[in-house]
Amino acid sequence: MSAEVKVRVPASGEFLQVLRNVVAALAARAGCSVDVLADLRLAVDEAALRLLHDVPGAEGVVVEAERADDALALSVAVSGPADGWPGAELTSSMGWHIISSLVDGAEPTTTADGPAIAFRVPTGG
Amino acid sequence: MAEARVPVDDTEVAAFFERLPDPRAREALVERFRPLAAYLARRFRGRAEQEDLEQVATLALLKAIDRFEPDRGAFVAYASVTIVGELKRHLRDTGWAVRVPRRLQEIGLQVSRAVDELTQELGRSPSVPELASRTGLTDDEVLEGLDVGSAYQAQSLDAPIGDDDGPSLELSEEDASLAMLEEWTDVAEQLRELPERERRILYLRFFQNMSQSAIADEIGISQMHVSRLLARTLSQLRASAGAV
Repeated sequence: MSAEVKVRVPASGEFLQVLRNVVAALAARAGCSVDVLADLRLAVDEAALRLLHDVPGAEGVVVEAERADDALALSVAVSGPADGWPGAELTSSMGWHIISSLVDGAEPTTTADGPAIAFRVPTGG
Repeated sequence: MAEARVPVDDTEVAAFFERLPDPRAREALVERFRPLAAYLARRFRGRAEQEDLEQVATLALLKAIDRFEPDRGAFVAYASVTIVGELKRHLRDTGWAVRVPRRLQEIGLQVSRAVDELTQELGRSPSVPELASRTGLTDDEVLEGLDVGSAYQAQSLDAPIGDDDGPSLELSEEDASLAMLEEWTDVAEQLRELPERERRILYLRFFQNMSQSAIADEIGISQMHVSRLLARTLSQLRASAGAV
């Protein structure tokens, strides 16, 4: 996806706050509701932590975001090897259930950076 | 209930307890023990707004009155434990045991109220610009408020009391769903240990697909408080699953 916004932070828990805030600011600008914003923060967290867990040695976390019709399309990726991604157990995990409850169309994918989870959230009232 | 041996604090108090659920007896008990609630709230002075602490303590007192069983010992002791427990829980939930600058506290409170008001008025979750125009804050300040004040709980005395006690109708369905979730991971123990309110929020959000504001409405707390509790519960579950 040719992202309108691309943010990269070091692969460590303390930087996830930065990522969450950037994503929330983007979503707010796109007109997302407060419910969507709150769910989005949780989803970004869950996706990033899941990826960091599944891809040992990942160096950074990259979020890309793009406006689509009535939605904001996002991907959360980690820079690291994509072999073995996604693992067979991914979509039956609790984490995956949580992500797919919070956001629309969650799917494992691979970006130029590495293993990723892509999803959408609705914008506008 | 009305046994011969009623080890409450004195006969007058015992008589009030025997007349429950008569609202007048309840009110008399509240009046009688309100100074205790206020006293305990003052012990946490400086860690949150005094007014809120007193509200939390008063709600806890009501809960203690409704739950007290005379054979559990003296009411004063039971009420004190309940009130202190609720005050600590309040401080933990609001995260304000860590001092937040007053300006941010105020913004957080203002935004939290506006979220709940606008959700009611519009019948849907408001956007950030809508909150900005309601509060007179900038979009950035609203975002800051949403983040920082997340759990600020402006609970009124009209809030449902004892919403987390006793078995509820949904419990069996809820347990079935959580059991399903338990199969997936090794967090079973942690799930069982969650306070009922947190379990319920988890269940409503992830198994009933209810929105955070609908859950807030159902449970009687603010949307931002739901948000905060969800974030904390997920992070606890994650920690226990060993995933980061």
